[in-house]
Amino acid sequence: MTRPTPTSSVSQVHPLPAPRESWVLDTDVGAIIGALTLVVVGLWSRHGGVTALGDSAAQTYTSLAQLTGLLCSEAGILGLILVTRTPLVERRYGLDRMLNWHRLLGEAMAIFLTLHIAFSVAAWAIPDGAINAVKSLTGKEPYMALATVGSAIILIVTLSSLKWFRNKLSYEMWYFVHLTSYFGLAASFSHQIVLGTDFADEALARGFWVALHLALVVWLTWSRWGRFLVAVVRPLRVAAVTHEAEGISSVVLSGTHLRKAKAQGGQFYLVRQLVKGRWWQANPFSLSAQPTTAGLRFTVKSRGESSNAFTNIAIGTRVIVEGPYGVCTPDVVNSEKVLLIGGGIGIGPVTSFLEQLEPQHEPIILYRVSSEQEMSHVRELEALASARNGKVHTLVGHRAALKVADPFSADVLLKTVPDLVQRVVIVAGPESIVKAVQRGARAAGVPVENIHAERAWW
Amino acid sequence: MVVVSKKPTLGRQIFPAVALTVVGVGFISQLDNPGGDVVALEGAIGTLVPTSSATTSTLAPSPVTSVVVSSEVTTTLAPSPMTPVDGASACDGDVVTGPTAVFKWGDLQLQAIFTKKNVLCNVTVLNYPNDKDKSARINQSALPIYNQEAVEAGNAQIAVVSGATDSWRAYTAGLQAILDAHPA
Repeated sequence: MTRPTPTSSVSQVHPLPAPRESWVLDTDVGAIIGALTLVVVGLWSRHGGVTALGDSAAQTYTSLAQLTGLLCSEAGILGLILVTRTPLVERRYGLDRMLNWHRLLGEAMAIFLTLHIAFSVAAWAIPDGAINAVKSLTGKEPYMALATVGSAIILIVTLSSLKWFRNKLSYEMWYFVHLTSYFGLAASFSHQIVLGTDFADEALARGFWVALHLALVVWLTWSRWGRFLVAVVRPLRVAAVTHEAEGISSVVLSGTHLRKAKAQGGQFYLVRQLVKGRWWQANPFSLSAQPTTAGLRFTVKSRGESSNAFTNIAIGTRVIVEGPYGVCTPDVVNSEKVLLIGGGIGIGPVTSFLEQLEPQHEPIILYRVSSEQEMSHVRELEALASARNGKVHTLVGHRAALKVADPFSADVLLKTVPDLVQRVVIVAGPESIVKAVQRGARAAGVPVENIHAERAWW
Repeated sequence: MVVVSKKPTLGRQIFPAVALTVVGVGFISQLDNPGGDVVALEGAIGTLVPTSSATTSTLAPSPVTSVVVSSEVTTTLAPSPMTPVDGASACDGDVVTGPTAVFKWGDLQLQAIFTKKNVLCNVTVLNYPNDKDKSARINQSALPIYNQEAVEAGNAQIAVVSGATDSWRAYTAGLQAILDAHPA
């Protein structure tokens, strides 16, 4: 698709260019995970891990402890690569998927860690008895006290991230617990090098392992914390706050550094308000207008302390933004027609997405909102749609008051949008609406790869 | 997921996997491999007639300062009265020389002395890898501990000393072979 070409004049307002696409393919990700697994398992097997399995119970347990320990490290390494938020992966899969994978890898790590501890204690308990084994493994052996603390931290972090515990913790508490996992990983590193047979005895393997971890530290420091630091020293400022509807405001952030920024409609930023007591909290807010050098507009609904504060933020307040993130952008559309579905506050990203479409896309917008007081951007949407050969349909009212049980069932969708199957479907909004649209559109015959949604949308 | 505008070629899709696999296999092949068996036992097991003077030198726990160690530890030193570690009973039973355990760093050979009641009473290291400084250092500190642990346990189920896992494998394999050949 064609995009507006930026003008050369700096003083003129022009849309931000789109972030570069990632060259990473699914097969590349598979190759890297496969190769790392190959090296880790190969290392174990080459050092006699497989042959030891048939030997005495002590040797079998020792060998299994080594394997699970190595796999635990591998899961940790992959999980940390996701923490870098490297654009190579983010631009392909999106931050929401990355965080989901990070969570899965964290859980895998905790499982391997538990097995590693169990096998180690079992191996040492055979000659020494369980009590002596635990004593040796928690402190008597060099660096094991550190490793014990590290393991405890990793297990606590994983537990605190399970849904059940996560819901009981404040975000602040959870976040700081989570930050300690850096220390947990570092603390358990030394025992791998000093005690781990695979590394203690062999310089080549040790060199590889140390180099891998050093590279990871450098990458993380730059890609995660370096970028964060840049965002901190170059905050944006609140330029305008517009009341849109009941509890809904649009906030425009501007700053001179936007001239060099890249972003697209449909993307989101992690936003930190530099207000007392809020600086530590980052909220994902979606762009509700095409980002330009003049500013980024976010439409936010007040539904928590933090978003409430943001809807009433004072002009001039400094705001740290990290991003943009998200892959549900106009890049997913080529020349097909488009159906945009916004549920509630999800109309924000729909608006910014729509702004970057062309008349050839003949966009149809379905706006689902529970009450008229909560409708925002309606005039803007209609103007944008009619300039692009499109139309806006709104469906207002509580679920119980609707004529149809499921407004996004295949029948209803096809009645409203007869050429649905030829369209790319974009949906933003609460999880329930995203799920309903995915179900309905698929039932109506839209191919899965033509349905796009992003969970992080607020 | 972003739709890739140009479909990547098959070569582009396969190349990274092939390249990384080759690098990975190359790396693994450069690593030390202890061979098919971690510990190979070679040579026969010999049982000596129990005599009061048929004792060999124990590689007793020694201070780390004894850097220079003759590789001829296999030689029997002057007969000295052997006291069992726990002093439970005299080492007046069979003297069994174990097979040579060939492992990653060299050869390890043990000799075990039993009491009349066929209880493991003393273990002696006849031969151990000491051609490299590191091997010598590791073994000189670990093997006496293994000797002591073995006598205390009365079997081959002994704890590993960190950093001396390979020696532990060879030691336990060699000792187990002796014990198997000399049922209590």
